[in-house]
Amino acid sequence: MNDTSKVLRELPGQVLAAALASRFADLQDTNIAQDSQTITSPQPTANAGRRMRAASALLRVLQARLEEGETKLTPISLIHRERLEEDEDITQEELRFAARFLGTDRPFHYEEAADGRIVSRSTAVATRLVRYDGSTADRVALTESGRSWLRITQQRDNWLFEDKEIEKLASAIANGLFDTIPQIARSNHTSLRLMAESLARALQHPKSREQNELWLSKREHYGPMMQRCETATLRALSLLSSDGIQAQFDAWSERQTVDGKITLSGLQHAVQGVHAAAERVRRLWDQLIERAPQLATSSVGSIDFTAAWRQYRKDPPSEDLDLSFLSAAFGWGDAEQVMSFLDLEGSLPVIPAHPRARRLEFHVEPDGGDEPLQSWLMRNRERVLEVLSDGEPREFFAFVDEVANGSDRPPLSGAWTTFLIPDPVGERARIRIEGTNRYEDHLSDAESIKVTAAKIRLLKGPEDHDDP
Amino acid sequence: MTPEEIGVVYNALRSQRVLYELPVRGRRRGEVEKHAMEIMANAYGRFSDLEEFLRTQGLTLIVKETIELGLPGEGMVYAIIRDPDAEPPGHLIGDQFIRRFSDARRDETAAQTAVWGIFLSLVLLQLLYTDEGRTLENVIDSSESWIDEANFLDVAHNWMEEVRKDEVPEDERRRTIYETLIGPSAAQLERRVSSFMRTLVELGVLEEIQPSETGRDEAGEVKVYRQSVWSAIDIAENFRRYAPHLIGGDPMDVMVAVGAEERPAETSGDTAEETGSAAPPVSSNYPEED
Repeated sequence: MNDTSKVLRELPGQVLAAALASRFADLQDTNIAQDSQTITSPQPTANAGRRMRAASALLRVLQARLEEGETKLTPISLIHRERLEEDEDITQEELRFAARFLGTDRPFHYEEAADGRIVSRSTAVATRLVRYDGSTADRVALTESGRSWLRITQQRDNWLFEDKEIEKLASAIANGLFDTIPQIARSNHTSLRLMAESLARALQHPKSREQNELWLSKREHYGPMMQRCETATLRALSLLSSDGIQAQFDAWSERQTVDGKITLSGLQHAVQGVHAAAERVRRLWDQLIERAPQLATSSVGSIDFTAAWRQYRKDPPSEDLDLSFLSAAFGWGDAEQVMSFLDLEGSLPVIPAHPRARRLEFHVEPDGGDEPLQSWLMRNRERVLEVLSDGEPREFFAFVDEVANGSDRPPLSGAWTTFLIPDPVGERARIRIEGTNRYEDHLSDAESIKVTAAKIRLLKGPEDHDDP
Repeated sequence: MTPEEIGVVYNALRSQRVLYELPVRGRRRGEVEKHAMEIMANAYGRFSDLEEFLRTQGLTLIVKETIELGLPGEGMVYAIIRDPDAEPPGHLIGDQFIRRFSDARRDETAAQTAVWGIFLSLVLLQLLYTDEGRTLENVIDSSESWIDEANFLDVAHNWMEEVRKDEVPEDERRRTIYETLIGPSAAQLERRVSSFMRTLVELGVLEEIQPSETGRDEAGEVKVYRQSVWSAIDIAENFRRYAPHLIGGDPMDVMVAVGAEERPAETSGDTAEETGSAAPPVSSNYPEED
């Protein structure tokens, strides 16, 4: 596994953007059947790299001129002179070829869903990056698509300015651009999540040392930037709850006829999500800074367990150590040995196979039982075990049903408990009784928890221990 | 947290080991878990009572965010793992692995079961960590580390072949290892691997991936597993403490250096062009990502 982000970071902008888009172009043009076992890439020409360099040189000069405010046609000869220093071996002919090529339409096909049907479309204008004037002179200029291309290729490592992106939220709110907020929030949320993932990876993965160094080399910027992200989301939240904005939103909302889905609470929820994501980033960042010295010196690498195995064979540890590892590495206790605060144990013959024995659920909805369930279980322990020992789980449920609906209604209070009932030959049956507390406010005292629903479930066999 | 709340959370953690504050795609939360999570949410940042109680059980509470575990969605994740430095109470000391995994039909001794256990554990770790380039501390990529039983069998088979080339050791302990591993037939190895995987699924170390998730047909395909989040956390936090002897000696002997293999520019495909060779066609089995 190599560090993809490092590769992406180091590739020249033009190359990166072209590489990112290349598969889409290939997807349309490469003639491969959908069920083909092999996906081949189009064969590049022998001088593919050089062509890319010539095209990049051309665009770079046009970009420099654009930055100086010059958007008009520029002679190829002038471009050639300007690139002489860095690309002295690139000829005027090669630049001209690049200009002619990039200036020719190349239909790009796509499909869109519109009015419930799929519409085939194509664009050519977006593919023409330059305007080449070969008829009257030998000149070239950027098209609007070309200028977009340059903007895209400059989008690198934008986390540096993520706070500015988040500030768009407050700006959109203050200016009443409510329909833009969901998209801005989604985009920022995603960015922050990726940033958090990158930080989490840096903390766990010494392979990310270079990424760590990059983070840390700009720590004076990143730290405050992350703080500003949080502040920006707080400001946006505060604005959203202000009377002025609420009135503005109501007025805006009344004018909306098309998209009635945007609500103020929905916007608040979206911005709260961004705020939580910003908080998370800042927490992980703090951890990274705290652990920076340790991460910088920690050993880098994964363990070669084949070598560890060879070493084990050559010089094995004691059997006790092996056993201790096997106990420790694979957890504790049997899965069915769920300990509760109330365990009832007794003997039980193997429960015969029964269609209902694998998992039976029994729901009781008492009207506000308020005695502790566990107390009920304790009081009825003998009876429960007696019924169980009859070997028919059906009878047990019938029994509970009878009690639940009879005069001796089980109170169904308390948390839940698990019976572990081993029999002499090692088979186990478990009964888990779960009480669900849905009214936490009603906790009366330290001894009981009120519940409003209970599941009584018989589980048989260790493989059946998970909740559904 | 009140004693009752601690009891509720403890029960849930003991039975499930990992609890999720919010739903995570592909995983259903039971009522028990939701209830425990409500308690944890209300007590957020005030877990000292719970932690103290867990310490008496030789357990440690680990609090992470889903993002740190490489899981989709958001929210907190709570896990308990053994604290190898603490003496756990009796009910937590188990020989559950040995009991489940030992081959009763062959009157296997505990020593032989332990050899099988260590052998297959190291194969597992090779596939989950070494082959994936994961450090022991890496939890974030655990859900992507899929292993299939056929591949596991191949590696185990190759390692056994290596043992067969060894000379018969004189030392008793080494001879036990040697004799345990040179005997079994391919079919026996297959059964043993199946039993190992099944045991680890039962003990919550591995999760079997359903055919619907792998995209393979249900019938006739080998089983595919992934490491559980709990196991990834446990290894990240504990492995160096409870198994230093397995990676002991000179760490450099068993460490795969990272810097040497990290050549992003070359691996992006430029090398082939520089040497003038044609770029190889990309097969449907995509190579490892750059």
